[in-house]
Amino acid sequence: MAGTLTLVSNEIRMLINHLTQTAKTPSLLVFYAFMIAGSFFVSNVVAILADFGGLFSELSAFLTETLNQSVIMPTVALLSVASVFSGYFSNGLTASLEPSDESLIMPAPLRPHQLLISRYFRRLIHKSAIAVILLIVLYPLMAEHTELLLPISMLIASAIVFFEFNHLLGGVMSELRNRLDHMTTSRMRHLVLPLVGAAVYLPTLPIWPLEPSLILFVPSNAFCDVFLRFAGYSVIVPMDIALAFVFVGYLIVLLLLANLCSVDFYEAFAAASVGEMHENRFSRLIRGQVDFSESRFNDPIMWVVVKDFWTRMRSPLQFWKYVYFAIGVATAVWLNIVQPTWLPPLVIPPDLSLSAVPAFLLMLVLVCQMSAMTSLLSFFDEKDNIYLLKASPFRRVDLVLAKYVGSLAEGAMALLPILGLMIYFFAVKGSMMLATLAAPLLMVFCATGVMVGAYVPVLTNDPRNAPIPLVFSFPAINLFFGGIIIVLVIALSTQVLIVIVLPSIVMLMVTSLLAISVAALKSFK
Amino acid sequence: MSKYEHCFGNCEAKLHMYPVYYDAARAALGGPTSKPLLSGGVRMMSQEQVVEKMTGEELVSLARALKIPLTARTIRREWLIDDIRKAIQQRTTEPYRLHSPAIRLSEVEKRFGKKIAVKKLELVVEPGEIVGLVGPNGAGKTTTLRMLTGIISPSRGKVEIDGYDMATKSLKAKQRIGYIPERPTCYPSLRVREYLTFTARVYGVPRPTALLRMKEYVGLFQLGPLLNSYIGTLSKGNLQRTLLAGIFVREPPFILALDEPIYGLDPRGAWILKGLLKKLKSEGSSAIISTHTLEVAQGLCDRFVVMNEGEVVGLGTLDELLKNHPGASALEEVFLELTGGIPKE
Repeated sequence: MAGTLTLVSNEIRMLINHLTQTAKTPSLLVFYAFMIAGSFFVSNVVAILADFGGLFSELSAFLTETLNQSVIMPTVALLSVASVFSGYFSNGLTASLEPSDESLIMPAPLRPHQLLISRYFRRLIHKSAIAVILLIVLYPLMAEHTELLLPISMLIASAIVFFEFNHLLGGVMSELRNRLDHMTTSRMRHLVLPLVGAAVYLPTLPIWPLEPSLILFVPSNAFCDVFLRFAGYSVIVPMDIALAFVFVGYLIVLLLLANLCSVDFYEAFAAASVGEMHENRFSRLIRGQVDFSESRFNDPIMWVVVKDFWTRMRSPLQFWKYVYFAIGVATAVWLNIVQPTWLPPLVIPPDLSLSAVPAFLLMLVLVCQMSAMTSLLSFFDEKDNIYLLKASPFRRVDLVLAKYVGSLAEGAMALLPILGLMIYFFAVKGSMMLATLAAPLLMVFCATGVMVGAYVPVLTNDPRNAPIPLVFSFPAINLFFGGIIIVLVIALSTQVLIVIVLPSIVMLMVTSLLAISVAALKSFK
Repeated sequence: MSKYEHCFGNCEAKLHMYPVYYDAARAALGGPTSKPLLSGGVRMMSQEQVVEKMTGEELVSLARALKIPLTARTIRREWLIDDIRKAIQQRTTEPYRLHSPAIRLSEVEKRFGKKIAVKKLELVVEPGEIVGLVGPNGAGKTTTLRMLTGIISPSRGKVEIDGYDMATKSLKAKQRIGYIPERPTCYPSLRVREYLTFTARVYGVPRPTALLRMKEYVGLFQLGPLLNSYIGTLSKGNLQRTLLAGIFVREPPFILALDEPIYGLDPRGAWILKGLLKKLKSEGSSAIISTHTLEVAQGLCDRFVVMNEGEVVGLGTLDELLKNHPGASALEEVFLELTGGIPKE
């Protein structure tokens, strides 16, 4: 126990130091200010644009009319089933460990579960901070309807605890697999996977009589109960009791994981770090005999773009990203042209039409933000090679442009399929016109990502680890710029002037952000 | 004026700041030393000397840790030092001695999928012995050290540290281990002082001992000015010194697993470390040192294990290895012969 407390107090110490460092670094403070002010601004804008109190009540009515209660529980339980399967085939919670643990904690006289708990404590602190920021940001939306504050807070709390339950369930499955691998080499050991999957899923099926015990002792059912009560369905267990039981389920799985955690936890981390150094066999198979050193490109921008392309192709997920793009775009185009009767778009009730447009815009901003994530990684993925790149005989502006062009292409590939599906399924009034905003949003967001990535080696001498506030500032800055673009479009929507103003503003934003990136390359730590 | 007097007339005061170098420099210049130098030229301070070097604030912290009542409004430094000395003498216990052998690797094998990283490794290291682990890149040295420290477990075979099986009594086995990884890393958000205190707590070092040893090793590794610096801002060399100080904050004897310990250290730091290792060895600690710097290995180690592609291809003292390889005149040539032959010019 003393060891656990020492590790947890060390986590708290590191957190306090981190905050102190941030408070003493003007650039980080500016980023924080951007993050909070930007989110608050967007939230206020959205609150002015839509009456969310009305939206919630209308949405409740819409849900209760269209969605059968008996379908929701098994659907939500699929999240837990997915955790069971993904946990069994993954390295569990080793992602929470870091290289320093390998040299400092793993050889120390401490038990693996002590390290696991201290790292998990760090995760909880981060999650809590995000939840608090989320509540602050959402507050303007709920300010007019304080009666919603408690149910929304309970829904957010139960959602966080339920997702943590699933996260830990994946860890339990990973440890279980390790234990079974040591105990037996029989293939029958893998039967544990369908057995646990069935144990998680079967109690959620509507074949059983709906009893309080069945709801309370199955975390996914308890979470559904909270959600259903919030959405206006008639449920048999009160919201607060269901929330308490989601928490009980979470605690049980946390303690189970701590008990199962063995030295294999270290082993998995060590194996994963060794694996990082080697190219995946599947990627090598796809990549074939391509040898980037034989590149014929002499233009620095093309050289860096092609280098990044082949470097990313070494990651197994990258190939599937291209498959997703091809299939996703084809599906979206087909749906929009054929409009099959068996897969109709969502029918938005007339009462919701006023709120639907802002919701569409919000979704558009979020989708563009998600798609632009690769731009954040464009410099960050270079890790220590960033210094080699900077020392290479390329102009700084060429490097920044190359990273921007590459991330714009990657971002567009991620965005197009979702955008196509959004236009089809969520066809609000003028959605085709609104969807064109995706282009300026993506251009600005990618420029922000490149800028934030370029600043990592400016703020730290360890480009492998980006400062957390810097990473969080990325969506915050984007929300801020996204908000400006949307306000501008709404204000000038009926005027021809928009054709000149919008491109000019976007070009100004992109150029400024890229110019700041070039300046960042000049001032590495 | 002698060479010694001339030099010390100018810089004696400065050298007093670094008692470790003080005697070495005096000896090098022919001056009198206050105490005989140990091998390597490192003179460690006794606990009493460490106490004398402490600042008022440090003395008060130490007195509190020793539960010395501090009731007077003002306390004279000499009296406080006397009280602390008495309290330390009362606390003195019989020093721990390592079991024999300090390290035993029996038929140890490690597989990563189909690849065998280490094949049937047999190794025994006695207390007071330093063994050099040498071999080309990818020979399995780092994997061996990681198994030794309990970071990974062997696929087959047994690792025993200080007589305790790493698989069944890992906490006891790890209590004596001091590990320096190939690529030193540490928590960047901790200050040097906080890291040292944290290490002492993790290893259950009593607070008075931790305070004394921190003072001693912070001085030895010249970390004094960096105590309040964040680890993330340290240079490679200073990070390495911090990690070393983190090991030695604990009470000896140690079983050290050092992967390229000289990495990043300046010549002075390397010299201090080499001297310290010799001193620890003479006091009964053991070490396995993995290094590519064969001169360092030759100067420090009693025996050598030469590994190639996961297998031990050479084992013995330098004399034994040279005897088995008549064409070789130094460890470097033995190494080259055992790991693919001496390249033709």
